Amino acid sequence: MHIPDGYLSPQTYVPAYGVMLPLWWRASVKLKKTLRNRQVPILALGAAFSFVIMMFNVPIPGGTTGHAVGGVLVAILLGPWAAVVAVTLALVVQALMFGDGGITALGANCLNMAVVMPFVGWGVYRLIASGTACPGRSNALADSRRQLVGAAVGGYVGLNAAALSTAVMFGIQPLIAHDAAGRALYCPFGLRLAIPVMCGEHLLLLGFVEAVVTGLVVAYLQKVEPSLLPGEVTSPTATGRLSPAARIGIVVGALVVMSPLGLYLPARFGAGTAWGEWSVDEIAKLSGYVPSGLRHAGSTWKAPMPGYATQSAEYVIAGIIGVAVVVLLAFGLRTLIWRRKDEADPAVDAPVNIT
Amino acid sequence: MLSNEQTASAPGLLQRVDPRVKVVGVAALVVVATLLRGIEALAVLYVIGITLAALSGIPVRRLARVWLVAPLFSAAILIPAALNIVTPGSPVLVLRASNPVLTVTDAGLMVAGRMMLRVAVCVSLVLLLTATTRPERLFKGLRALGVPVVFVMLLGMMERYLWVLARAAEEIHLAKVSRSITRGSIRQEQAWVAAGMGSLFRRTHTLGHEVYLAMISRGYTGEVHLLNER
Repeated sequence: MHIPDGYLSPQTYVPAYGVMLPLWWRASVKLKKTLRNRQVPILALGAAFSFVIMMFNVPIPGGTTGHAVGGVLVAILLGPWAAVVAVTLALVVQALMFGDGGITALGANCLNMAVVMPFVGWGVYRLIASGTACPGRSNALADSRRQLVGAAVGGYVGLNAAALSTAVMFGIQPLIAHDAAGRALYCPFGLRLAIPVMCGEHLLLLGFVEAVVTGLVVAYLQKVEPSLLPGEVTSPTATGRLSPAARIGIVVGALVVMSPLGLYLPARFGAGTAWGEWSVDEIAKLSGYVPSGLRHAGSTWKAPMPGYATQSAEYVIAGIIGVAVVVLLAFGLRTLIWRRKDEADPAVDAPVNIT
Repeated sequence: MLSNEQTASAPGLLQRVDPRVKVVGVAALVVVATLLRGIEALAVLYVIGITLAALSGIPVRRLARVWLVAPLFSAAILIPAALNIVTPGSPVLVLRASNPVLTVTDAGLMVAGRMMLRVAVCVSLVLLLTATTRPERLFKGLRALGVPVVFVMLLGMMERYLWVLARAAEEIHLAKVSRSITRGSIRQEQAWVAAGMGSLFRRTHTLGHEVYLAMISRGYTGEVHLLNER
């Protein structure tokens, strides 16, 4: 995923640097506040660790190996802003010393692998492993299995988010930089090629490598050195604030109430059905004929509430019903899968941070 | 990297130049390379790079590894760009005449060739910088570009301990391999790799503590002063 020199136009790599400069500044300010003096060597070594992780080849089914970026792992162990700095340093050394990734593309590479990946992966990890994505508000990471799953899923999602942003960077090159004859000056592959190829290989293969690496390392550390993993004291209502479930409920409720916007906006702008979601009649109108396979497919499943609704009130009711069904399913899954061994949630005491 | 150390200490043209000049110069030339549109101009820049490398005593084998391998890699990625499905144009070579028609177009060749040349130029220029500058002087040269002192210090420390950690990783792997007769299942092998990484992180952590203690016992108070070299 390292972008070499020459693949990005100046219209891309200069703004990437522009975006990264305040982020780097913010990361170093944040670290100066939260990082003790004694943690500076740890950060340098965290960067070296991230670099070395990129050299580990993990065996994957099929006989080949893949390697992980490790950005989400460093974010889980040291925090997302520390991961920004650590991965940036690793990328700088790779670009300067090994030619892996270009110098002009360094800002873009850092944006993908040192910002998008750690933050998205870390956010997903916090969502799964502690019920809230806000820092400093987590409750007990009561179930170590939840932490493990959160780490693995966070790694997968983080890597794919970075793959998507890289694909977009590649894909817009033919659009924004071409010579007088319309030929691409830099990366010649447009969005239509870049996104399926990059996202496809990361969704189907490399994302799992990252998930496996992150999850297995966290599992190993849980067994051997749990003090290195983040964990906070449990006290759900100690601060008197709302529980995470209530907070999520409020957000979802607000979204359900706002859902009629989904009817109003398309009508306001005269937009039709979403791309690729046409009914059989609409396809006939659009392309002049109905492919034989489609004709029968439309009648396979008769939904109880087709098209959600046409009026705002019904739309909101449909939203409420949909949310209720999803919540019931989620609880059902939780009861079936996560509590299978019938263990009580152990409270995690002894709060330890990286000291 | 060892070969980098050797060439960086050898007598040559670029090794004598101040690292700040080299950093700014190479960065400027790379930016120029990304802005150039004509193949002839890119070729001239390529020749300049190779001449400078020859004058600095960088061995041809080293050069060849870089300025042949990198373009070849790019060629593998860029071959589809020369086809008519990506870059339309008048066909130069017909690969498949029936529907879907697959030809190599002249515009496609131009695009792919320009990209390959640009990548080769950029990689050669960066090689010039890294093969003729010792790492600590290179990082100090970055100070001239305004990189904050903390970053430069972290870069220097990281570069030093990179080799320590890489060696530790190697030893972990060797220890496992020398005690095994055969490979296990995929799950087992993955667990070994993960255990290696976890163990490496623990060592990193301990090493970080020890380095910090060593630093404060030698008078580190939080301020960073980089040694002046000449």
